[in-house]
Amino acid sequence: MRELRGEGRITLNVNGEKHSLVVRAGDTLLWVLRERLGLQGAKRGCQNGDCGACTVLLEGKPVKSCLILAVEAEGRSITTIEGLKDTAIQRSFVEHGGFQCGFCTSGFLLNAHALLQAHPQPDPETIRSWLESNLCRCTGYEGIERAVKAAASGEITAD
Amino acid sequence: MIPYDLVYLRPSEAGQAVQLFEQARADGLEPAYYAGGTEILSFTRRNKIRPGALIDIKQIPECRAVGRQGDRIIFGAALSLNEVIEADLFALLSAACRRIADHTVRNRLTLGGNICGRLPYRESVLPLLVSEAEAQITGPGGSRWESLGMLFDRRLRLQPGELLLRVRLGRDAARGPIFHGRRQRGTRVDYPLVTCCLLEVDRQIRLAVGGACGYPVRDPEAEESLNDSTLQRRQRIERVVARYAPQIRSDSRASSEYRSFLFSRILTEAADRLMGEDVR
Repeated sequence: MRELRGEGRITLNVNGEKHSLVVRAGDTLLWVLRERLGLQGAKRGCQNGDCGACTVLLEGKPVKSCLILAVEAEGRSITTIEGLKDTAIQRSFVEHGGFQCGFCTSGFLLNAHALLQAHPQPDPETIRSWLESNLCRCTGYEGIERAVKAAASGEITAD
Repeated sequence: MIPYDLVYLRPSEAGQAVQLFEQARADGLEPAYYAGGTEILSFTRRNKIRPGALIDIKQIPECRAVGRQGDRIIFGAALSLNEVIEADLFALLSAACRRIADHTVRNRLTLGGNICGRLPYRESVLPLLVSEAEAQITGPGGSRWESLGMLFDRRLRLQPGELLLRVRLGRDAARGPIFHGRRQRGTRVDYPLVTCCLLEVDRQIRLAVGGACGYPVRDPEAEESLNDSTLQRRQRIERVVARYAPQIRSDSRASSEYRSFLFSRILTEAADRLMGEDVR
């Protein structure tokens, strides 16, 4: 039985590092990552689960960190954009112009990275289904799609 | 984040969850059972609800159950919609879940949350209505299995403190031919204007409809018209749409006339897939 009344100490495993900190029961993972751990790669967008700018990986699966309490993520592996290094998808975003203003980029990158881990050679429908979780306010979807397809094709590899 | 202090409780068994709910209620905390949390977090942030205690059901074994058990298929209430899809045990339920929210949200949104939530669409309940699933409910009065169709009237009718643990359906029902049709105003992620789930069992087509009426419905009289082999297909569809027409809503997203048109189009596509040739 886990109980957190008001506030209490939890341990989060973020990008392979353990962080012990006191949180409120109602603190979202997004808020704790940004305001307590200083990991500001996950962006505060709609805070309603619509835009995907706050996407992080929980046990390798993309989740919107505005829609999960920090206490729920206790003991589970969390990956933020700060923990994603030298991957094919990151290189591919650079090569194929997968971003414009960059606000949505961390969310798209983590989602696309998880997609390619789960489906190394995704069909167009699978790509569409996964990517519709994220919004790009610059409407740069074509570049993002090109980048994902290029990384999936093996045209671009990790550094 | 939730803009006030609350209590978070994560029991490991169903009886403990019910006790915690009762205790929190006695303490005046207005408790809520919490699964994926997608709706609770966005609603509390906007002050639409204000639970003082969240009882997380994700570690209750029954709520995480999934698989075949004898001649039945079981889905726990705390399975994420993507887990339901990946289990691939009931094609119509997978099809319905695949169109709810977006892929990332479906990693959190749960079957139980979608059935019991406040949003009126509850699309995952449609396949469960046509497959005549049963629901296991636990609460202060004990645990029971009950017909989901009997429990569901626009929403799942639970007593205070009661918790949906899991649902089960017959494997035979899950094998029948299916059709899932959905129309929305904007992108695929948008809420539905009309969703139809059709399942053929013993040469009879069952139909449940969501979106159009503002709540999920399965209407036996409409199904009678749909299966009336003395009528031409077009007549059957007209009768079904006419039967639902008084309940079909108009709002800022679509008029009732437009929803009725979409409903008719979906049924025509379903007829092509499921119905035989017209009687000459």
